[in-house]
Amino acid sequence: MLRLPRRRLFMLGSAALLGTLPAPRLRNPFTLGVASGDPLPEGVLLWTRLAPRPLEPAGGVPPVRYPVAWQVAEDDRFRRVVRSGTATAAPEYGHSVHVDVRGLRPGREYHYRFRAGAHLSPPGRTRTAPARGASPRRLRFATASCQSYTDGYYDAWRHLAAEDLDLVFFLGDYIYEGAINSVGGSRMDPALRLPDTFELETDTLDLYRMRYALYRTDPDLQAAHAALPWVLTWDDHEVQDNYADEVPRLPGALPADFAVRRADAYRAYWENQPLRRPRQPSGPDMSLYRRFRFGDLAHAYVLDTRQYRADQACGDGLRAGCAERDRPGRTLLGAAQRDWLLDGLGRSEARWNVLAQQVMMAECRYGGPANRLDMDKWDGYATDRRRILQTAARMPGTVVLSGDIHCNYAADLHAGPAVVGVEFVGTSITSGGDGSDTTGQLDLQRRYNPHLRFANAQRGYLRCELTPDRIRADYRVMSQVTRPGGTITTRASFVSERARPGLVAA
Amino acid sequence: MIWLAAGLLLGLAADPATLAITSGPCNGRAVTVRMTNDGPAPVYADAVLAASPGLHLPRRLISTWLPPGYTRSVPVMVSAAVGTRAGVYHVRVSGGGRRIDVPVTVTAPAPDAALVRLAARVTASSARASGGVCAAIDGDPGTMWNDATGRRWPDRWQLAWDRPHRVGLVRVVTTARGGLRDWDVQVAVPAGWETVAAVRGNTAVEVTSTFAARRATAVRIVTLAGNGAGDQSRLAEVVIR
Repeated sequence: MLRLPRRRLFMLGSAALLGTLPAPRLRNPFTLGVASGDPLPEGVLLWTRLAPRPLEPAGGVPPVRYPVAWQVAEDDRFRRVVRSGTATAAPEYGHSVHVDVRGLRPGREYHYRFRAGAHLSPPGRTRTAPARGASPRRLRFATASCQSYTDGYYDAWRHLAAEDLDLVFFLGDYIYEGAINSVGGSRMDPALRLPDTFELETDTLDLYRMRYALYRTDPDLQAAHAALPWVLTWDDHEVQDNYADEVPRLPGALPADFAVRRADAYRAYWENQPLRRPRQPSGPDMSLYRRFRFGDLAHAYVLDTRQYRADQACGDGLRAGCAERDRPGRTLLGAAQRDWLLDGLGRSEARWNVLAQQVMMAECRYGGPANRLDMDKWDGYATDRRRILQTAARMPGTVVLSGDIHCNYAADLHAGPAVVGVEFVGTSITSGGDGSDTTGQLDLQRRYNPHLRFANAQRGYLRCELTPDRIRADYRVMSQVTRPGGTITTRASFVSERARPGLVAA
Repeated sequence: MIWLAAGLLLGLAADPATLAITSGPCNGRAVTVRMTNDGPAPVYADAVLAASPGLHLPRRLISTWLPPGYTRSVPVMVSAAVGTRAGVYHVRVSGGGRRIDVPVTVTAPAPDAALVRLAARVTASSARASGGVCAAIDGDPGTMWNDATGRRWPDRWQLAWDRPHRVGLVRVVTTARGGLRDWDVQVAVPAGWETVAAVRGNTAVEVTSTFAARRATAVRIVTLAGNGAGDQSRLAEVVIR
């Protein structure tokens, strides 16, 4: 058989595809970039979405199917293509493309790209997980969360893309559901010519799709997606601020109406993230909790603390003396997810068990005479937390990664008097604006919570390195986000030993 | 789950059946599009909206999941720019093989209409989804313009006309809780923006600023501080005379 170089085959294939493309042809459809995610030892999920006019409801794509060719190569010049094929971008999925590539080698870097018609996507770089039986020397990752578009520029993503990392855990609030206009917020960019459709609160599938499209037009966010694989979970703003399972934030909305809104939000989330097809929602339900293995070094449990939780106790917010939070049966994770997690943790053979999730797990008293607790966090769901930390007491190497609150915290996790794990709460990418090194509230929290080793309210992300016996976390903070060009520095670093958990300044 | 391809099971309705509006960015009215899944299985469905030239719709597509028997109701504001010729226009909604026509009668506001009704442009430095700029002149103190940048000042709400009007009074209605504390009232005169009133330390819900009347092409309220509650700009109503 005549063997052509893979690159040549790709070009021939694309030329052949041109003849099958429905009219009209598309302008450059790769305005939203590319992404990869959920790495396995043998494969990774590749994503893109066709949108030649990304700020229009359907992205400027006619309601027909388009073939999209893809390639995976061992080199960034695509001379050694190892996998290729053609996927379909269908209108019912917002012309998104999800390619579940298998047959790759574990622990290897790969490069990928797409082609639609005559248009070639920007290239992406990704990495498979180590082999299941491997004993990796280290795993380097970042955590990030909360990237309100109107609150600032995404320079933090550009800095993160330049880091030497294996993957990113994104811990929620990828979009925000409120109004955006061209003159509002910190970006204040009338040149965007943002349609007034964005002034509507997202509540239907078309509006959620448009919101993801707007966010993904940002070049720094695109750079971070293209630089390494992401493992994502969501928090509340992907649907609505502080919702709990089927309970919307504000009273008065009918449960059936909120279920439909949740279905539309979950659908748009799946369409716009590098998630495999089995994760696809069924109406208002979408299974997002899952586990990833990095040889015997780490198991990562990606949790969903929004979809199954009991309604926030005592009416949500900061509360003191709320006995309801201890009521038996209240759960943050839901029984099925909690039992799955406890079973996995209890039988784990990994050196480390990493819980990538949304809300702060460590107790956090807000100080003052009332000494309140936040009912939206694990403090409002004490039973679930107790069971997890009791399991952690038996299983060394428990690390919790959190987001949600636009602040950095480093905390020891206690089961009784004993420290059984550590928690790193990462700040926001932009949400909250520039922030500050500390605030009066953070000062109070440090005073009333001696297990908090660090607190800071700047923007940025967390950079972590996991080795068989130690974890190190660097708190990377931005000089500014409300104007472009922010620089990044390491504000603080902490380590914790697997055999003797507890945070120590590095 | 199926995608509604044939579309025969989608019930489509619009309410009201006809609409009458006056031209102007905040003089529109909503038509509520209702999509009903009349079939036995959940579907994702689209309703496509189109409007005659001269009408403005903030959205042209509604896509949503519909469980069996469920009706999704989505209000869509219909407005016409100042200067739109009087006449009958149309909003058309189609989906599931069905098509609905909503005739929209557009007239110009009466020459003696309130100055806020004669506005050609109403803008703000930012706005929340639940607190758009028009909420400050809709005659309903239960709705408000609400800026989207809590704890950051100043903010700006502005109303402009296509031709000058004589202005000597600006009444601000804010809220009892978290209402405006400090603001300036400015008018656009040939020499530029002129501050005609400066309100400081306010705790009242309603404040009327009167000043020597002058011909202006715009009025703006520059908000400088609020009374707590997230420190946001809250304008429930603005009256200009």
